[in-house]
Amino acid sequence: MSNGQNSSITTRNIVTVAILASLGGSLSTFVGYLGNLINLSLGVPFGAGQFMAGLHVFWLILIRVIVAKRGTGTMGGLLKGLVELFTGSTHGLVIVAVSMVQGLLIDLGAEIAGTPHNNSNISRLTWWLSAGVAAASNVFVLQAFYFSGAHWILLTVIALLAFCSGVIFAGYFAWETLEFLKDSRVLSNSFSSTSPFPVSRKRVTYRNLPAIALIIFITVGSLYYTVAVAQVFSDPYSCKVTGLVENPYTYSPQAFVGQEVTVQAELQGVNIHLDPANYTGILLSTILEAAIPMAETTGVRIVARDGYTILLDLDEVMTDTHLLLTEVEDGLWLIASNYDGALWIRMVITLEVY
Amino acid sequence: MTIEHQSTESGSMLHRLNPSLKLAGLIIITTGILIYPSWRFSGLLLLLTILGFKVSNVPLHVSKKRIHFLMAFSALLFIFQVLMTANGTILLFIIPKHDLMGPFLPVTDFGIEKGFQMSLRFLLVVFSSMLFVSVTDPTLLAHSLTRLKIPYRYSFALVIALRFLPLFDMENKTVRIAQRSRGISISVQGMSRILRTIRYTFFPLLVSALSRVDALSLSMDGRGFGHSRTRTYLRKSCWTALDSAVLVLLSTLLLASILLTLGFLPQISAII
Repeated sequence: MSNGQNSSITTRNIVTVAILASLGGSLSTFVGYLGNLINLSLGVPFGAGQFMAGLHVFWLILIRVIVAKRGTGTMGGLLKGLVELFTGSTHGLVIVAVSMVQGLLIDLGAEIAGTPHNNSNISRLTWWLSAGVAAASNVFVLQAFYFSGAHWILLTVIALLAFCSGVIFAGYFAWETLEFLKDSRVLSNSFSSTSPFPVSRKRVTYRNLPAIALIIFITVGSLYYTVAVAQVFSDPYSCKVTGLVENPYTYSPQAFVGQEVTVQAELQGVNIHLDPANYTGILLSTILEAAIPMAETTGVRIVARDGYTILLDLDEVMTDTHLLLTEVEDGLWLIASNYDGALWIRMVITLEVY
Repeated sequence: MTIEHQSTESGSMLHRLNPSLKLAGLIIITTGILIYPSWRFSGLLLLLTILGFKVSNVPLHVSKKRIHFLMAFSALLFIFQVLMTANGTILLFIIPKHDLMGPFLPVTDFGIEKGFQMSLRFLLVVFSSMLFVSVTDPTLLAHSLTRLKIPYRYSFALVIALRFLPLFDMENKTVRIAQRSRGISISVQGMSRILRTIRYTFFPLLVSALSRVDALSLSMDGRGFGHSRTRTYLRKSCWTALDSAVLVLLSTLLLASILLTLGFLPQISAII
């Protein structure tokens, strides 16, 4: 088993990658079963299974460490994904993308961490972190395919769960497995063979303590930042003013202090009616004027965070004295008292002049 | 673990298509619905996929349990999108107004549209993947990839991986039975038990799998695998006029989804 990063890949390397990818793909059903057991034991329909996400990355880490050559992580990921596709994964082709991205991230992590035969704490920590990142990546790839519009806090919490799983199963447990394989002489002339004697489990635990402590700190810190800090500092009350304007900018109500207007409006939808109420905010015409629309522009496209989009005539917008953006608890609302209820938009994020 | 839905014996048109073309088709369909995320477009492609099952005589309900899971998951995606989408014309409230409380959780036309979009996308990706697997021979796929200038040493890795699956599946069952006979049951109550369960399952399988590497690689080296830039094949994939026609169709589909997204086909986008 070669340790070189650049030497060409041998038949033995290819067979190792293929066999581990095959075993990983074949055991994915077992991993899914464990995930379902965890869901059942916690009484939730899904989500807790992400705690098993690291076990999918475990195989890719083994591949990348045992066959210590550039690109074997990606190759292993692709192969494992194809094996899962051919064995009837319920994610179909998406599982190939998920697995390949994980392999790619492990390859990137391996480039930073250097040779896996280096027993330094920093190197091991980098491997474990890249395993965590690779495990978390599945949340974002699946989100891109199926869960667009999910709240970023929800995604971050699930991703953190997957990250922890990656660190535990594809980091700590993978290293324990590699030590076991080395001790059982299955990895004959390879991985971390600086110590000729079997290493006791206690010693492995002590040696990994600094890495474990740092990872716990990062995980707890990230969770705290996501839930308690980031939400406070992120500004849902801002939106981009773009398109055919001379001065594109990010609108924030604080920049328009003193220009607020109050209008009385009632929402008249097809199936809903909100009684007349007073809404205070900045007129859309004032916001667009600050961006200076170009001469040939005819309309404005208003986009919400969930992708909902409406088009309004620019001339009508610029003369409407009852069309404003107001601050509500979940972001900016477009109050459109002269329009149908469907044009009252929540969570406005973009005003694009065209 | 077996290769699902494998039905290479049938001589249907889909079975006869070049495997690389089928893979490209699968990628194009998935890319197309990501580029142009219309629920009508996804629904249309899903109907065509189901038609593909019929044409190629592949039973759609191979596993009742899996179909139930797919339907439940797509329903979950639908509900998730409906609940997460507040904009659009409000059709009803899940929790209606009661005295001074509510109403809460609006259901909007845009939310329902997004729900259909996501659940149909999911079903399309899964069913088109199932169809692809059903009508594609992995060995021929590996061969067709070598014709696309992918070195055969790499494409052969796919053949090895798939060929070892039944063996690993059998060994996995053996290990589980051996554990049960020794009174070791699968337990997820606490981290140490999860790790123990995984350790007891993975370690014997890993040792068994890795111990085969030397024998297989030496055997392959002994047979001259990788010595020459090309190799011979017992079964080969071929490219026919039908493949060219399907390639044109698939390219048109991809181009159409790009043009629809860019707004160059307003009449068609009004329909789909």
